[in-house]
Amino acid sequence: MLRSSSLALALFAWPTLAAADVLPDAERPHDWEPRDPPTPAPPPEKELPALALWLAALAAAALVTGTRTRLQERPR
Amino acid sequence: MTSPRVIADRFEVVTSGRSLKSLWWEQHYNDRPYGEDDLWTLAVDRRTGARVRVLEPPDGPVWSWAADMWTESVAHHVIAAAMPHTVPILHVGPGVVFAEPPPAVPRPRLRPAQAAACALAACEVVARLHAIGCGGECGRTARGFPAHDLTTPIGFGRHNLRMTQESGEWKIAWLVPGHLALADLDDDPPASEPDALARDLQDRLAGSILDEPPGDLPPKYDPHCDPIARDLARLAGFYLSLAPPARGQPAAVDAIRRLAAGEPVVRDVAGLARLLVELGPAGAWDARLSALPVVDVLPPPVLDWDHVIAAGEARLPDLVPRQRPYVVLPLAVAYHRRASLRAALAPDDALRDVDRAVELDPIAPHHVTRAVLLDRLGRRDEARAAIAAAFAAPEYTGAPTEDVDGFRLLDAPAVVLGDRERARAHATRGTIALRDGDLALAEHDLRRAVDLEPTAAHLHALAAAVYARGDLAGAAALEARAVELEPTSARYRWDLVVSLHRLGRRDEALFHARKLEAMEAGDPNGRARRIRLLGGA
Repeated sequence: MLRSSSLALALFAWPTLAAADVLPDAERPHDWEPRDPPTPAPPPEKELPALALWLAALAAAALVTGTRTRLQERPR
Repeated sequence: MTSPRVIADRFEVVTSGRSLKSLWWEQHYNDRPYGEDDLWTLAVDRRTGARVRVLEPPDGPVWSWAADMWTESVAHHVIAAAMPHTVPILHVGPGVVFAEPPPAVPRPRLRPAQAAACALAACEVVARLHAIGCGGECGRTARGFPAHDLTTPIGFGRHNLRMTQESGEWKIAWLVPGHLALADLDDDPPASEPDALARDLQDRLAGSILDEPPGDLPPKYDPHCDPIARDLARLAGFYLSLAPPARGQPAAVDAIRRLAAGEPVVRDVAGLARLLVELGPAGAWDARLSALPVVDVLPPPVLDWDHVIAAGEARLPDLVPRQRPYVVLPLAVAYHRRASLRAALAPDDALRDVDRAVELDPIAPHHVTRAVLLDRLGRRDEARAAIAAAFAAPEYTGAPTEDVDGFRLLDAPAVVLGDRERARAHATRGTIALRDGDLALAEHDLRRAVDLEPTAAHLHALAAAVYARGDLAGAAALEARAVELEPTSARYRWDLVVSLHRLGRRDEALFHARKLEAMEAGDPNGRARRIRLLGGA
């Protein structure tokens, strides 16, 4: 009688005992994680300003700095 | 009578290895001493009839699955490297089958040149292991604690790093991956060898050997020690165990002594090998020295992710719920790792991997990667849902275990998100919002990403959001910072040129346009060339 009740008690308590077993916690292996996970694609490239604006900009810039930069570029 | 277990249709198991715990129990309560053979699974090779030893976890506990995968990966690397200093491996997975190693003899006393030759061979093994990220005491968990379930499979004791004599020459025969339980036997007093004891006593009386107080040695298990420094100290200690420091020896020996005591004399194994070469015959080992990989920072462990994933998926169906997290969590990380490696070239395959990672372990980083991949593939609605799931995922999450009769048996550990991962989540949501035209959300998220991690990519994306909202000066300032961080990126410089031009800061725009032209020299589709064509120059 005593033996069977002990057995019943052990069977009843088994899940709790099993859960309380001294096991290490399950972990995500830190070293396995990707060092460079994918990152979002960059936003779309800016559109070129209107042709007229560029023409004006380059003409003005050439007037101001054109001569000086040419000298720097070709010192030989 | 049951038929004997056979590994890989080739190795017939004679006895299975037992755990140290059960052997200790028997020793204490039944007074039964144990030896090395009790800790190994012993088998016989059907092809040759030779005895082999199998390194396998006793009773196959599932909780060490990730560590077992790492051990098997190291074994594969050892086979590929075909080093003459390691015990031959005949089969890998499950377990590692070694050819019968030489017996674990006590450390012999050698002349400095002989000891240096053995230590150099050990250096060659360790340098190659460091190159694949194997070294040190053990890995770290996400919370920074030592991960005792991810031990590093290298043992420096006499039962793992064995010595054997071939035609009068001492050589090493190292068990790699090591059988770490054998370290328990390393401290046993070795079988007394009368000649060695007498020689040792004579040397000590003559005063030619210096007594090394054991307190000078570094602690055996120090998880906070740098992994490479720890291995250097062990290697130096190995040399000293073969040739104890004596009076009148070269300066290299003193450097090795200090290294063994934990002083940072050299930074890598190649550095230690250079010290050892000084003790050997002149010029004989130069070729070996130059072939050594130089590793002063341990890289992340190199595993075969296809193999890990296949093994994990094969293991899952047999597990009961409380065992699942030990395989599910590492398996999900492996899927995430493989997805990251495939993302650029095979985004569809990468997406399949990360889908499975999310299914196994729905944590924020996996959701974020899924959102990134969906966004790249143009599946915007799904990307939006995925990034929303990333922000909805609690940081403290449970693995998807089944409840058994109302018992929730094991919870998965907390997910700790670093600033970098948070920044990636915000950058992803911000970029998707920018594409959707939700500029306020885009600016908010991208600003947060920049605060958390001010990279050029984040600054550039924030600049795009700010630009779209009409703040050209703000955009130009951010783009200038991005260009400063990555001056070689033509893309960032181009966007800066456009912003400066629209602001009317033409000198600055021209300065960057010229730089851009120089960077894209020879590229007919270069952005700067387009400006030139438009300008008619």
